[in-house]
Amino acid sequence: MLELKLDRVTKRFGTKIAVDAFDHVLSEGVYGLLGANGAGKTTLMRMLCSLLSPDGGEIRFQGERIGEMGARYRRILGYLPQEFGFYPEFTAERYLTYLARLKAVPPRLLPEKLDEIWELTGLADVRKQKLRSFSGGMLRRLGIGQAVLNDPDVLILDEPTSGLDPKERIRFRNIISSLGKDRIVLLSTHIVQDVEFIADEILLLKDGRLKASGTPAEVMQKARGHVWKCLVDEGWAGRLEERWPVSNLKTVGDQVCLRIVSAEKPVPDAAACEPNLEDAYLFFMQEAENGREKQGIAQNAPAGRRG
Amino acid sequence: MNLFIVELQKILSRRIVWIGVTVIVSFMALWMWESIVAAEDTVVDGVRYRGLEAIRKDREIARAWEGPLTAEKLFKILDTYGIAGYETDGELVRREGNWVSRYATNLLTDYRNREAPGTVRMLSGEALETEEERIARNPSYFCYTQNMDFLYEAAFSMNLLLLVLIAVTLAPVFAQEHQALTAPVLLTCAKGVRETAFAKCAAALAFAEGIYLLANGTLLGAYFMIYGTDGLRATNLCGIGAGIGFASLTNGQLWGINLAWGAFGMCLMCALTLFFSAKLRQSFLSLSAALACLAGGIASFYVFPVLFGFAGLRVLFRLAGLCSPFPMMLAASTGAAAMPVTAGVVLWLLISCAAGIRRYWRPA
Ligand SMILES: Nc1ncnc2c1ncn2[C@@H]1O[C@H](COP(=O)(O)OP(=O)(O)OP(=O)(O)O)[C@@H](O)[C@H]1O
Ligand SMILES: [Mg+2]
Repeated sequence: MLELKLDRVTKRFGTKIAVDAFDHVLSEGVYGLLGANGAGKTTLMRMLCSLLSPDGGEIRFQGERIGEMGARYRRILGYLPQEFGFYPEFTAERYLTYLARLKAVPPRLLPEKLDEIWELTGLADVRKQKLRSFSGGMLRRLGIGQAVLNDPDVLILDEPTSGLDPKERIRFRNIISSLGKDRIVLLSTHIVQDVEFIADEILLLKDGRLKASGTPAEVMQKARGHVWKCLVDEGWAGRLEERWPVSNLKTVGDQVCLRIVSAEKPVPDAAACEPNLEDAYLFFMQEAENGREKQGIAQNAPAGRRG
Repeated sequence: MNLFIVELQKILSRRIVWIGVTVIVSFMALWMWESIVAAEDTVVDGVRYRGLEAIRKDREIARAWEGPLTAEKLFKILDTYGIAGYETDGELVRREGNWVSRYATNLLTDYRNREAPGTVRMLSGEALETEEERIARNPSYFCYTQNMDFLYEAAFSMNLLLLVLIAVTLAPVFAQEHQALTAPVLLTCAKGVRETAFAKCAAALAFAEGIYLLANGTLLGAYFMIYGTDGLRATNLCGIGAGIGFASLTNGQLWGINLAWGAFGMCLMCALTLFFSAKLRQSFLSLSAALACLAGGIASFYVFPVLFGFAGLRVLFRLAGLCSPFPMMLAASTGAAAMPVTAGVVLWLLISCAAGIRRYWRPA
């Protein structure tokens, strides 16, 4: 049983709080970290890789602080950074062999391991090519390959699907599902579909705070009753869009079919519908904003009316 | 896969290395040929020889006179070959005689007074006594040392260029990993921190010392091929050893010390550059910082000793001038006495750089 425990983990950059008292316990399974640009996903992941040290709180693996574990922690860690650099003069094979050496993969297991990775990433045909000739998607696949080279217990993938074509995306999802069986896999994305079917647990991050967590079904469940569908004319559609988050918009003849995330019924003839993960994401992001607005109002209100 | 080899290949794959080496080597080769070998000439039995042939003749003649240098020997040389004055050939003024007779002429005549070429005279009276006394006071071994002084200067210039090349080549060693965004993966590998830093340092050092040995080996090798190795047996002939407490050493021994000292200088340059590379995380900044150190070192030889005549201060600036590869050549006043102190400071700097690299190349 693996356990990676984040205890009120906080990171500040100057006055900006990038990750704010993040509390969670991760065990075997796939975790999808969802959040907007600048939500703090990368910062959180860099802390989990011990590339950054938290300003507050601590991260423990199996009860031990990861900062103190040093090389022992890195031995069970696999990391794909969001911005992934490579050596243009290296061939794919040389690159992986080099990293295998750094990751202390036993040399006698290496050929087998490499075959596995070629299979996994579909890069077998280009293994002898220099990395300078690789496309962005190929590099990302190679990046995923290097991350799993040492059979890590903790696998951290920062936007692993960015730059992949739809076919590769699907392939990648299947890979992740299979990897998540006996290890902790944390992957960040802002594409909801990437994690909808494979994540055992979704972590919704906004402004460095954990807004919601749970299985996709649980998260969707929480948004139930807040998703509406309605058919309006174009003028109305614009107004509704300004007021509420719209998760889908489709023009039908001279009318527009909207899918709206809202606590109350947006228009009288709107029909409630089953939320999907995207709706839930919008719901929680919206809720966070509303919460902040309300908080702002409460702070400005006379003391007697508070609480 | 050997990490040391990988890091060495990363260093050697930079084009600037090979451009630099080519430029330095061809520059030295051209210089050597144009200004030395092509300019050689000697007159034996009324026949003028040039270039490599002149060198061969001079060496042959010098062999016959090899041994402890005395005033009597010099007189005998002048008796045998005559005074090597000047001959005019149109505009051109050339020395008469061969290398041996020119050597004796330089010491025992007023040859410098060239107002009337062809009228070079033996020193006499007090001037001659002074010179004889000076020769007796500095016992030295005489043999063919043509252009050995030039060799020192050439090696000095070349090693300065090499120091710059080392800074240019090694500034990216750690910085580039950050700039190319390859560092996060390395720093999250089990052996990506200590082993990688170690491999990088070892590869950088191997590069610096390798290129140093290669370049100096080529330069000295070329000299020895052209002029032979006779000059290594001479003592005190270039006036280099005497001023700094090494009067009794042969040129060969002086070269040994100089080369070892130079290797030490390369090592320091390597360490400083790597330290800046790890700390500043930007190749260009690291290069600038390393070159600033080098400039400070050179300035401490050329500028400060002139500005501050005071000996104590000079020692101080010597210590700042550690980067220079051939300090013995220039630091005539502090010389041998300051070497242990200098070596101590260099060692301390090396250790500090290593500690700095360990500190800055690692995850949070
Ligand atoms: N090194 C840094 N110095 C200063 N601010 C930083 C630094 N790194 C991140 N930040 C700030 O912290 C916040 C969180 O950034 P982070 O990169 O973690 O977001 P993210 O969720 O990964 O975003 P994206 O989806 O765009 O990758 C941002 O506001 C960012 O500007
Ligand atoms: Mg990010």
